[in-house]
Amino acid sequence: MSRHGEPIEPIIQRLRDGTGREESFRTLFDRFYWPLFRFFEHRGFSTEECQDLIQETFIRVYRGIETFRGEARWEHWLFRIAANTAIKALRHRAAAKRAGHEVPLEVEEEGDSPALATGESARGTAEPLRQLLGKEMKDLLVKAIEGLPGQMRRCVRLRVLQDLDYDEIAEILQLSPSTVKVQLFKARKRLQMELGSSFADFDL
Amino acid sequence: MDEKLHAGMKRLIAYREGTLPEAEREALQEHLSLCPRCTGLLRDLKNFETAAAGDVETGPDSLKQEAWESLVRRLPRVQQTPAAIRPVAPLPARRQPSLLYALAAALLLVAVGFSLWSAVTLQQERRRLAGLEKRLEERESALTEAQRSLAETERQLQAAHGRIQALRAARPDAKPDTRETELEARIAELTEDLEKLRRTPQTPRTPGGHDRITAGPGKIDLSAAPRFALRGQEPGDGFLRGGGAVNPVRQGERFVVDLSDHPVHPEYRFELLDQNGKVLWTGRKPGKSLLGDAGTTLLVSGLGPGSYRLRIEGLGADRTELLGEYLLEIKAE
Repeated sequence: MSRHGEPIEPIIQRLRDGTGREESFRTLFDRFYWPLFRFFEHRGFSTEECQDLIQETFIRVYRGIETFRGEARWEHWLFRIAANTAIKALRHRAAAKRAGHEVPLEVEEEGDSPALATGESARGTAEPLRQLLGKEMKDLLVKAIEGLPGQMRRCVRLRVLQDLDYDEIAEILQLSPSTVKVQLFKARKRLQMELGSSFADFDL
Repeated sequence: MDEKLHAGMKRLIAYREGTLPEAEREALQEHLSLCPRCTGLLRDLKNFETAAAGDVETGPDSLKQEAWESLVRRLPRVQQTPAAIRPVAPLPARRQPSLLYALAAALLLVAVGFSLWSAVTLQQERRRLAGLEKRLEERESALTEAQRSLAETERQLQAAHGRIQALRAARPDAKPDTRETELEARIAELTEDLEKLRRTPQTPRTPGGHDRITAGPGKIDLSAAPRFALRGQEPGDGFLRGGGAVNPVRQGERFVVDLSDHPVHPEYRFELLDQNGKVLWTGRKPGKSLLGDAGTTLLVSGLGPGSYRLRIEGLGADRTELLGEYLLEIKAE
């Protein structure tokens, strides 16, 4: 049940059965228009592109609704369609760019799923790492991080390499924020012990 | 980061839903710690869930309306677009009626009528199926409750019987009073009722479970039902009758094994063991067969009274998974 009122399952069922199909489709559109809009917007698309991609997503929903069996959560099914639509659009844009066409936005493509490289990951060159002096020290730190126990290592990488805060790390690793805090505290002690005074002020 | 190593949407969603196996979960977390792209996607998924639940910043309604109108205009161009959303085509200019038009109209009417009839019939069938499923669930639930009640009654009877025996042992010379005799007679009646209930053939299905086995008193010979491949039989003479049809003269006991929850295994292995763990019989069933893969039926009628164990394993290319182990009590008639 969502905050919108009627559960999603009967709406999907009506859409599939064909009873009140247009009305059900409109209900779905109304309910998920803004979540989709914000998703595409967050991926760096303009308002016009967002409008177009939302339509594309709903056309795919309309054509593929028979394949939705309810085994996955509806939001996740819709998200997959939207993310694939975004990836396709960015591929198209990158291809146009390679061909010398003018494109409205400058977004770097990264492999198969360029959309996935955008968004907040832009801050991937993390501040804590930038504070370190020189490549040698960075290599030393990366090597020392590799030697940490699994969970601790993952917390440190997300903090140092991706510059995430405690809550974000907890969300990604499905841990409590206090566990993340403890892991990072222990990691700091271990890294300071291993690497000496150069890393005494290193902030995790 | 090697592109081939990215997590993929399906795995990220399974991780988010908590359905990823433990080993894969840890490998994915390791990947996430190194990959801002997958981390970003996972966070987008979480944000989308929040937004889909209603916690989202909205904008002008005109924007949404504009997108809807464009969408409706685009839908007719999509293949397989259902007629409900396709705008009604303008009627052709009125012409002189002809036989051809009349025929076409008649055919159209028949097609429309047939479509309507199909849709209505389908709906009715779906409703009927839903009703049947509900009734089945209710019956299964009642059966489970009855079994539980049966076990509880039996336990109470045994306790009462034990108490009477203890009292008798404490007063060997005392004459049983009327109340004691009545109680004992009642216990005997109830015990008999329980035995009758047990002898009643049942094939209960555990809701959501994957196994169902019923057993009762049995005699000689162990046979395998059709569509069962046999191999590696160890028992001595007369124990197996091959994989042919069930012998109707030899009324043995049926063991119905439902494997519908384990469709991933390419093959299943069944083993019947005695109390000492000796394998008396082993059989395999392919995961797919012409008759379906929802389970199999074993006919067991070659066992003397005693306790046996039936093990069911799912066989994969690189692992064997124990799906169930059952204690079978074969009682003397």
